[in-house]
Amino acid sequence: MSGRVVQLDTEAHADVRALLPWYANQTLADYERRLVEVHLATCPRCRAELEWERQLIDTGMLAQPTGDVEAALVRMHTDIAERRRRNLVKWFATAWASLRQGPVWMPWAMAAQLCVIAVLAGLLWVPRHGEGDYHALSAADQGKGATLMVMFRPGTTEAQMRLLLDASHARLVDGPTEAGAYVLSVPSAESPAALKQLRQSGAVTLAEPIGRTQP
Amino acid sequence: MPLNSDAATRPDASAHADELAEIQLLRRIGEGELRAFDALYRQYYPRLSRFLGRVTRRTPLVEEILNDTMMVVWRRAASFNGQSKVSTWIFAIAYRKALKALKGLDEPVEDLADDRQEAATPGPEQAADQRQTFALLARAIGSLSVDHRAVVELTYFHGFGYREIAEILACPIDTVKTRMFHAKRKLKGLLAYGLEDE
Repeated sequence: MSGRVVQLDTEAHADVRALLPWYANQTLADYERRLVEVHLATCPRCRAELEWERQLIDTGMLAQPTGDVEAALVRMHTDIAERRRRNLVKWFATAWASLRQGPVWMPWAMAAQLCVIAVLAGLLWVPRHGEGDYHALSAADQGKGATLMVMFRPGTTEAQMRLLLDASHARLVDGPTEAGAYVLSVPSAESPAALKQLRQSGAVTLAEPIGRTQP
Repeated sequence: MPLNSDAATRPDASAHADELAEIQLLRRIGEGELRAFDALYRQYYPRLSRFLGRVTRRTPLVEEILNDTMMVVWRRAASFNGQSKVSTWIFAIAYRKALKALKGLDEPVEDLADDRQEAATPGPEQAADQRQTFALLARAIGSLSVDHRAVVELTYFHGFGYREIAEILACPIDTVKTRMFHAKRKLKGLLAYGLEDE
């Protein structure tokens, strides 16, 4: 009976002793820590062992100079850049190899694809006509009608111009230009009539359609 | 002295916040953010530098292995799955890199940089005694096998728990405890001999 007890004590002692390094560095789970503390209260050998562990930690933790971290980091950046370059070269080499292994028409197809991509990219890059230009509020209707250029006789009053525009169902969208012309927008269907009316007016010296009539 | 608290077993708000910050850094590194990588590099440089110096006993090799380690971190950050702590993951990479570097060397490892450093930096008497003891300890640890050195170093000077060490060294927990048992026995013998010899 007593031999069994001694054996259990010895096993408990060995178990706790095996945990002491991690008790010393404070990383044991709560239940393990409690186990160790209960044993330490009755075991002078383990307490001495723990003291040795703590001295070891204190001595070993003395500050040691390490290398120059910033200089090492610069070299690390160089390594990363070199790796990226190698990966790019490898990618092109692989792509080229697969092209050469493919059918005869493959390189031409790839070249044509690249040309199409370049043209599309160019189209995306070049601003489309009119895009980004300033638009007056009145430009909202511009896309729905015809555009006319009109020159008024000198001395024509603002009231006369307003009446003429109302009668022609036209809107003033631009002008006067450097030449003294105005740009009008009229509904497409009414464009011929508006043009005729403007030309017949004594206040107008010139009335001509310009640009494309949009649907 | 919490060297490297074990968030899994010892809830600690500060350690948990640090771990979350490191996971966040890794996520940003995974997205290719070099600034996040620099921050992690600066954070780990002193610890890895010391660990690799002790494990390899080859000062000239340390930076090369360290940068190899961090290159893996840079490339694989996106694959970090959070099953272990960031530090455990990084130290495991470093250990594998160190073993690989050592395999490529034929000659016996004997770099007593710690001793040279101690001799070159005399100080007040007490500090000198301390450094002398430190040099003795460094010599004793250096005479252990690589596996035993790693367990001692990770436990006493980097504060890892035995479960984490098992992950880093890719071995069972019982193996970690056995290595520690034998390492301690040898260290005690060497230190006792060294102290008597002083």
